[in-house]
Amino acid sequence: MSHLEADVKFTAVVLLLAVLALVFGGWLIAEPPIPLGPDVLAMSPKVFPTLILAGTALVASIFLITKHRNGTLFVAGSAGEGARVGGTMYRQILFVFITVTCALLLTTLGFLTTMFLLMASTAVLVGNRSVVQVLSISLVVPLSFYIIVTHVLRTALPEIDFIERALVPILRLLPSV
Amino acid sequence: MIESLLAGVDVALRVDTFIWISGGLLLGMLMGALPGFTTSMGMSVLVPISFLVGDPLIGIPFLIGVYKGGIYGGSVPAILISMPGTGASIATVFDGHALTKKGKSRKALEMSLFASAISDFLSDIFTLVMIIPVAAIVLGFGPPEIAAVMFLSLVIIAVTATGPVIKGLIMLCLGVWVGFVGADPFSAMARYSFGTSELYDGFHLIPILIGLFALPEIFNAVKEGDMPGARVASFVGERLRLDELKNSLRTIFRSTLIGTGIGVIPGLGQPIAAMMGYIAAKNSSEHPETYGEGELDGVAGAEAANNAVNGPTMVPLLTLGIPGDAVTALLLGAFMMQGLRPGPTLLTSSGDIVFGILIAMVLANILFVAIGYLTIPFFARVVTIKKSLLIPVTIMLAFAGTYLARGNPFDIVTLIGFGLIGIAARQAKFDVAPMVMGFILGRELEYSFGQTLALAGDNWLRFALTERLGMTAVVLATPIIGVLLGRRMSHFRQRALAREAGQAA
Repeated sequence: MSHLEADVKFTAVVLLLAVLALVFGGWLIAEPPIPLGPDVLAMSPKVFPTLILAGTALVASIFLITKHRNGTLFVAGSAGEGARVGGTMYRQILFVFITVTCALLLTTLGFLTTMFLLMASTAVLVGNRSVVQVLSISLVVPLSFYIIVTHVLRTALPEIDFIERALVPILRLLPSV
Repeated sequence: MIESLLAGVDVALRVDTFIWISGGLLLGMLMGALPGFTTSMGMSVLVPISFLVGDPLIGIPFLIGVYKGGIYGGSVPAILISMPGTGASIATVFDGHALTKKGKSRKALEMSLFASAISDFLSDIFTLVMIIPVAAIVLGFGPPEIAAVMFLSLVIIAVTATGPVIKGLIMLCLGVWVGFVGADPFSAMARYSFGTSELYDGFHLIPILIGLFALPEIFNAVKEGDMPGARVASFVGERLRLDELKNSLRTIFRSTLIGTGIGVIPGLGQPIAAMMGYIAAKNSSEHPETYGEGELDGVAGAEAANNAVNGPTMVPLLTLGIPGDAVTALLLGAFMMQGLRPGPTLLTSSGDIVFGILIAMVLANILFVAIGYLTIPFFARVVTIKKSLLIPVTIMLAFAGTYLARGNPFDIVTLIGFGLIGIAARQAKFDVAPMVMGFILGRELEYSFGQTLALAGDNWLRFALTERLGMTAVVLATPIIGVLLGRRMSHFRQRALAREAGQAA
């Protein structure tokens, strides 16, 4: 069974986006409400994006046409590849899902909780099966980092009130910097 | 400018600067020594840390330390386990690992260290000497020249990217397009912002850098799963003798020249320099047949060339604001976060700081030798550390670094978005470096081009003809595109013809 080459898929998406941006350029780029003279506004805000998008569409089209002419649009898949790819694909999708979720929850759950979830799950996905290692890395490293950033560098990281209050006694034990 | 240089000497000789450079060198060597950890990935997660320390004379030399340490550190796994830690160390594998097999890994590692430090020192001196005349010339540049130089640089970056030229051009265009998101530089009208205030300011450079360089590496580690720690055949053995180093000095100087020349040209970078340095060493040797079988000169040639690139990449970066490769794009981000805008006016506005940074860069080479020599046994063991212990720390640094850069939660979303683009690009074998360069230089190109049009007024043809330098750059760039595209097309055509002939047969 054959499927599209990864670079063909990527280029096709770029081409599609470029064409859509060209077509809907009028809606996506606002024009100045009053006409500005050529000494203030030598070119419209649309000129450069239109040139670049046209260039993108042209180059992407050349790439796809060349691939088509060479007969390299598709790549043949081998038997047994499905099962092998399946496990890897599962890990990859899970990693993307966890990363996106943690990114969206960072300000809600706070730095330490989010990083614990993210680091522990990443460690497991990368293949670490030692519970002690996973837990110690996911707890100690973010906590140390949090203390360095907030206490030494005096910069804020998002954290929920409950954890911030719980950390106050620990931070008081540290020498002031 | 000479006053700035003298003021730079004064500000560079600070204890805290040296402490942070040492930290940077150690971290860089660690990242370089870890197989699968690239210098660009390491630097991308450390750029926000350089900003947090506040002072540019600490933050930027810290990153330069990471850069220098990373390029050298890449030679450690190349020599010990035949796996280059960074792309710059590919040529080091040929003779470095052969020396390890012979039980002479210590000798190879020390040769790599001394060759790297000597060439780095010499090329940094060259940078310091060159930057004043180049800056003096660039100071006379107006918008037409800047627009033309940006255009030429973008073309060179696209054609020298890893992989086919056309892929480099696609990524470059994509980067330039992403740079258009936000307010138009002339009318301040919103472009591609979809009515959101977050997008009106455009994308911030740091999440883009971390997303494109660090997240795909982490994703790749997830894809590969855990690998058992590498086994090192030997990291003991004889030390390098002084006469052996003396014998290789000619090779080191030759490779330094090669690397320095390559460093000044945007887009070429360390891997090309290392290969050229190695080939030059082999070709000029009296016994080229021994290369690949454990020749110390082979290690010296490759390592001196790749480290000599580091300093001269700062010349186009600081004088024109043009990053030569991914790592200097990260340095550009660090400069911008510190409120320093690399370009023609940087040396006049913040000359003391810039010279301070450059002098610290030169002096860092002394620390480089000391730290490198003392830590060779430690870094030799680092290559055996499992990835699963380090990848979680890297992803934490990626998230935290992005957030700390501006304290804006939207940057985390940007990080993920560009991370996904980087992952897709990597799967499709597209180099992300031209995209970053396009993002950085595209806006500058548009701005200077717009200014040029405003200056030209109605009579732009006469204006173009009188702006000789600008026209020269455009005239130079156009055939480069044409010739390279033509060559690529004829290559594809020949392959298609060959395939047809094969089918017919």
